[in-house]
Amino acid sequence: MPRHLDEQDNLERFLEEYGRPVSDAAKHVERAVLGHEVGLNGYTTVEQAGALGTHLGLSHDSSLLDVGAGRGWPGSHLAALSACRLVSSDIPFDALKAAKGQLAAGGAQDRAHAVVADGRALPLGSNRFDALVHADVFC
Amino acid sequence: MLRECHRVLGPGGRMAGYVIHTPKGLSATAQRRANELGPSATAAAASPDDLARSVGFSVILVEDVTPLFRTTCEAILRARGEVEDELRVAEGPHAFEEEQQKKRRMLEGIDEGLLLRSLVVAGKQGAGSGEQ
Repeated sequence: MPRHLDEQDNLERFLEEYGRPVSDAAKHVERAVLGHEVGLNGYTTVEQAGALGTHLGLSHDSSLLDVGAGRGWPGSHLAALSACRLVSSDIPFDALKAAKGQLAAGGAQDRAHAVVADGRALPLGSNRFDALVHADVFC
Repeated sequence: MLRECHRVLGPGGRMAGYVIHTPKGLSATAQRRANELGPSATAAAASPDDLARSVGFSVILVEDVTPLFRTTCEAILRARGEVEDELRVAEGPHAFEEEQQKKRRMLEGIDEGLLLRSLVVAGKQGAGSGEQ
């Protein structure tokens, strides 16, 4: 899909940011403010992530798509809470690898898949998911 | 992107998420200012609920969470300041400054009433969904 120059610039920044390991200092900030240590640069607290799960009514039978998942927040958290099946999608491969790590740590790796994809052209079938979650992706 | 979300979601399915956006009815000047202060994609002139409706979703809930967004933004800025030396090494001095500036601009945008954050819950019509 063709991109504008500023979009390309943003994408390169994202790729660079997600390619860097998460420092202990960054984890400290995330833990202190948001209540988790996923390695993201966002604004969704643990409580707010929980609220998303409540509104989605997730159960172990649900299939959830996390669009713009980055390192797996909030999808991996919701999959761990509800035992639902999860597909995480985003462009940076490094971020999705980290997301898989989060799921493995939560024992949910068998129910989870990751798809490297631009959210504007998802390589996924129609009518496939019961629920969809996102956080600060559609700014 | 929302169109794709609607396509892959099954009938009766729900989408929930947080969206940073501008208030409805901003003047062109205010919208430009919001674009300068907010995330790169804040340029969308339509509100998140209107955008969701435009691709076929029914909007179930829109809850303004801007006060907590402001608190979070401020807390991140403060916490990053507390470990500034370590972050300057980990991120590089330029990237560190850039990130701090980004957060300060975001706070300005919130305080000027130009940037909002909302929880938006929307549904895709389908048998038994009860959505209109």
